[in-house]
Amino acid sequence: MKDLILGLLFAVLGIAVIVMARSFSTIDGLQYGADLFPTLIGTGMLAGGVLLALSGVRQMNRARAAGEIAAQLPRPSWTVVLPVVAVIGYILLADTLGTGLTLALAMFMLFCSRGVRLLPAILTSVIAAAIVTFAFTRLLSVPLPLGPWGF
Amino acid sequence: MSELIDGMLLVFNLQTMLVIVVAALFGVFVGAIPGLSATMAVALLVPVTFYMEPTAAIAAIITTAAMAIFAGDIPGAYLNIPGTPASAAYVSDASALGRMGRVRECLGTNLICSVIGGLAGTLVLIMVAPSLAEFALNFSSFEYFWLAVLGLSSAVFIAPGSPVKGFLSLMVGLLLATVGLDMVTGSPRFTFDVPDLMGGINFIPVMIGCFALNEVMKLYASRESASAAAKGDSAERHPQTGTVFGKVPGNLRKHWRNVTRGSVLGTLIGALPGAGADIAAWISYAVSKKRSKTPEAYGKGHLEGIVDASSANNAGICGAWVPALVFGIPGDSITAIVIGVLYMKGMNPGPTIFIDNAEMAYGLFTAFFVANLILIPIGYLAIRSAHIFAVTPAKVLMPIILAFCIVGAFAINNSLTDVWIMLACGVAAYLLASSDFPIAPAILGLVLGNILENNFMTSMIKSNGNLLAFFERPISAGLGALVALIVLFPLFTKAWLKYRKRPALQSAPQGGR
Repeated sequence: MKDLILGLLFAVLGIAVIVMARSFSTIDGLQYGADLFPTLIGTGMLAGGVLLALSGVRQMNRARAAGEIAAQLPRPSWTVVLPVVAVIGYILLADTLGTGLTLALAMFMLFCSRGVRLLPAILTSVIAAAIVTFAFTRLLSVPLPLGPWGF
Repeated sequence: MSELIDGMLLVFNLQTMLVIVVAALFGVFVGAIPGLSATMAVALLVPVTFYMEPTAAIAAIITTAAMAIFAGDIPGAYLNIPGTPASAAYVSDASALGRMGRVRECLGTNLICSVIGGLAGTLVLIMVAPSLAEFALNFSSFEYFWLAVLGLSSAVFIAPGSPVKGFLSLMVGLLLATVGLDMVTGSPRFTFDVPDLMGGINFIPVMIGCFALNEVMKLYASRESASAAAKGDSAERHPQTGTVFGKVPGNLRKHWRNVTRGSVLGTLIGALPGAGADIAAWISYAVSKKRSKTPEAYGKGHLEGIVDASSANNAGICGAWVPALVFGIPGDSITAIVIGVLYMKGMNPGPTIFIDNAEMAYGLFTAFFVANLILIPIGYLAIRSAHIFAVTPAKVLMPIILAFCIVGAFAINNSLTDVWIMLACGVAAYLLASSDFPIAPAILGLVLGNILENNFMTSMIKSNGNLLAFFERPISAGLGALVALIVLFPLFTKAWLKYRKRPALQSAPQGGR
């Protein structure tokens, strides 16, 4: 099932790439322009996607013929979105809250979701955020966004 | 000669040596913690190396990689969990030895084999790379096109798993490489009017996303903590006796053939584009078992296979640098990162590296020796204090790694766009990896995409679109034929398996298995 969906997605992406590549410019007098390579990639994606989708269908048929219920993979826990939320949160909040505070909050959230006890969670997130922020802003002089308090 | 001394001086100074020691400690730590791989260690290191001297930066990467590959053996022997995928091949042997109370002997032998393998790989690199580079000076765009195709196709067709999925993964990498201004016409492609994308997608945020964020997400997707798996009968419950190096000379004398074979095989497999240390370990373990007089002892605490495979994985790390330095074609995902760092440091890989940058090339060779020798003291300390790694749970480390991912991705161009790219690639890598897509082809595609396209376009323009020109020069025809062989490789293995299966099926009823 997964292979079928991913295969179709790749096929659609391949078509989109081919269509977009048609608008890339070519130089007069040259037969090949900026569009050739992306078109080849798009074609490859389309072909690979179709092959993958077909093998997905074949797998499902075989499973149905054998009377098996498709093997149920363990569904991922909902907490899988938390790292994503943490990164988006950083991108949106770092300019107002500052890198140090945002990182500490992100890490604290992740610690708590995995059952780290409160005090160690607070201490580790504050110390780790302080070290990371200090190392990158002071030692490596990276202009990380800093909040109104300067960290 | 003066270049050799200058190159050595680039390494033997206080600053670089200090960097090497710190990198070794970092490598031990990341390698010894299950779930954190050597590639992840290197990907996290790159934003920091950005601010170092070129030689120190490269030395840091070499040391971290070599150290992490060895340190992956430590939790394997103590907890039956390989620290990095490269240690997975012989983990059952190592943990069985641990249960017999022979952890120190096993890890001491591992350590010395790793050092020998690494030094052997380094010697091959030093001897082969310059002469190969001289030969490669005659290469034109046709040969480089084929070399890039060779690297990409072996990543897709030789690596284990579905070739279709590997191929699609590769296409994603190639597509990412086309983003930005086109080299031939100068027109923007797939930039969606985002100014930061005009210069193309920087591969470091992609790498951090694929190898670090992806792992963080994997932990948060699992329902129980990883440490639960270690609760079984592990070496920690058994009294450990003996010294680390006491029995090593005897073991090496007994298995010197295995050390040699593992080192040679590992270097060769490492040099093959697309196959890295983990594949080197698996193959040499299998070869060792096949050629052994006691194949039945494998997997039950037999040192022979460990000797082969632990020499091979460290040799593979060095072997991967041969195509990376000479052709700019990475041998594995670590050297894929390295190539990006080399470009950033103005040390462009390619056959002229030994002419334009002889001093730095000698510095690099020296760094390889130092990195492999420093394995001995730091590895010894790590073996003696191994319990530290067992008590550091992933749930404490992963959030800190995530913080590093964010800040590291930002630091490359000082822009939040790179953090978005890191996020998108991490999520995509997580989704693809959980459907059994290999990630390495995508990285190779991104790194090699521009080389592939430029040489392809140059060749097409030179030959006026005549595809036969790709086979007209002898070397390029040879490389083309090699590519064809590799593409057909899955068919060969299928035929071989069928051939092997037939007699096995006939004897099955009598065998009673």
